[in-house]
Amino acid sequence: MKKTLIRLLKILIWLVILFPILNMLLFSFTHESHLANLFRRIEYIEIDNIYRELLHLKLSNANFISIFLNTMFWEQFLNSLIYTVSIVAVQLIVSISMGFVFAKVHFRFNKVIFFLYILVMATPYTVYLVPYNIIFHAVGIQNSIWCVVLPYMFFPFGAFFFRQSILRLDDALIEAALLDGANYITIILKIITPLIMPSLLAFILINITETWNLLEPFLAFVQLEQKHSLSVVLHDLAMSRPEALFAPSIIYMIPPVLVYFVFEIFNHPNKQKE
Amino acid sequence: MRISKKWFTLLALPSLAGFILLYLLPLFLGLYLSFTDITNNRRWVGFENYQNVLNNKVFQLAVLNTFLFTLCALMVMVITSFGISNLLLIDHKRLPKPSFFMLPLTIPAAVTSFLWYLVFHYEGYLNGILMGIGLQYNWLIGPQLYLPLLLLYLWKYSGYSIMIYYAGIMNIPSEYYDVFQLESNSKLKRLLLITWPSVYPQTFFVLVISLISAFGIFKEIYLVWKDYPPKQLYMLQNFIHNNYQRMAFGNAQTASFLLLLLVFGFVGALYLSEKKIV
Repeated sequence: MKKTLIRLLKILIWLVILFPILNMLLFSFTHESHLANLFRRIEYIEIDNIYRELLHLKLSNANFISIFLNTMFWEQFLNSLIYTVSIVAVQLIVSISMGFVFAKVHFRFNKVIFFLYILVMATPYTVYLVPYNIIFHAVGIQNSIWCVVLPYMFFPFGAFFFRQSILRLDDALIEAALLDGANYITIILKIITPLIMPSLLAFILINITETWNLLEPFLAFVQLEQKHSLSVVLHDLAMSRPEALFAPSIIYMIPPVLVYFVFEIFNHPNKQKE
Repeated sequence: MRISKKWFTLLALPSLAGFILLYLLPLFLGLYLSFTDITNNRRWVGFENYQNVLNNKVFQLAVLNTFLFTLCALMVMVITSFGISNLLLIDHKRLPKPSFFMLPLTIPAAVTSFLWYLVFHYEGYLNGILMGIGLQYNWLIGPQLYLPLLLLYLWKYSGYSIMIYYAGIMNIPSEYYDVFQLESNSKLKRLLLITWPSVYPQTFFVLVISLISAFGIFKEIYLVWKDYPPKQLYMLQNFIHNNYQRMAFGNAQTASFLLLLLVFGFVGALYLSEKKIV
């Protein structure tokens, strides 16, 4: 019974991640026109068996070469990196402090404001499009990155997440530290952070992935092509020429996957109890 | 814990200021705007926008679809992620860690939507295998469209839920299991009667996260079918988005707020039931 379950799960793993990535690799090493041809024939139901077609694809690295020569692509890649790192860094600082306050500090509107945070978290982004347009115009930052970056730095998910993690910590620990003369910043950095390390790493992983994939705010507020993030580039390709999509996507995937592996390495020694 | 005003300000002010200025303020502004005629000097029109939108047949279709899909998606997500978390705990050494299921999120939406389309297309991967048995099925039309869509949703978004459940189940004190051993040896009963109730807080978290993700599926639908997906898949976000394209901001804003109302209702209901259970 155990053996079959494990075997079943291994098939699941193959389906979950290996198959899509191998597929992407295959398509990225095929010449664009070839791929466009294949997709058009699939649309018109002109092929017998897709697997046979896949075997007959001619491989070439033309896609990757043209990407390496495209400076705009690398500029946008750098953009994505900068946005992601700065957003996640600010989110960490802002959210851990607020999570601590929600979890351990008794103030009058604690429960109410926390509930508001949850509600805002669940709000779809489309609600904000028109109001943001108006507010950003009023402040004068329309058309700049700040329209995208600023809201995301203060997204309530972080405070919610850290409140749940810090809630489980013992009050006595913090009070003992206070008695010993520590200020709250020391407490957060030296006591709380090590204790919630697994959650903290998970938070960083989730946020880097989400910020890296951020799309709608860019489409709505940033017109200048040089300031675009890579996700917008992929979106544009998907709309116009899907056959050219796969090679940039491979490169696009590398940072989040790297972060994932770093996360796994960090988690390995700590993997006793969550 | 009591805390001095100075510290409270230092710790809470950044988040609160950002939250109020960048989230609450726009929300209230949006609420006000939904009662005005945005494209026409913003004159006050009261409930006219809401009447227009609610009576719109297209909107009604969108609401129905979104509601149905979200309901199915949430149920399936909770059951599947709970099940997989338990399976992953059977043998931690040789099975993947729960964070493994986060990997699908690293693949850009453009690619996942395209590959998904290829898998379920009439000439695609799934049918390619089925042809060997002699079947071929059109997965991408009609009511059977729900199945591929749910699978896509599960594939992409299970990561969060599995991680949360995994952590929660690992934290269940073994005393509960030991006491249960005295009464019964059935693993299934243990799962349903001890493990499942012990993770109610996690279920709450998972439901909220999955709700947010369920709205994210709109991106993939949009990438495959552009502005006008098949009837079953026309979601609220499509409605809102199409209205933005046509510059019908009044409709878009009002519909967004109605969507918001639904979401608030759901989250509020969850929050209240959490109080009772936890």
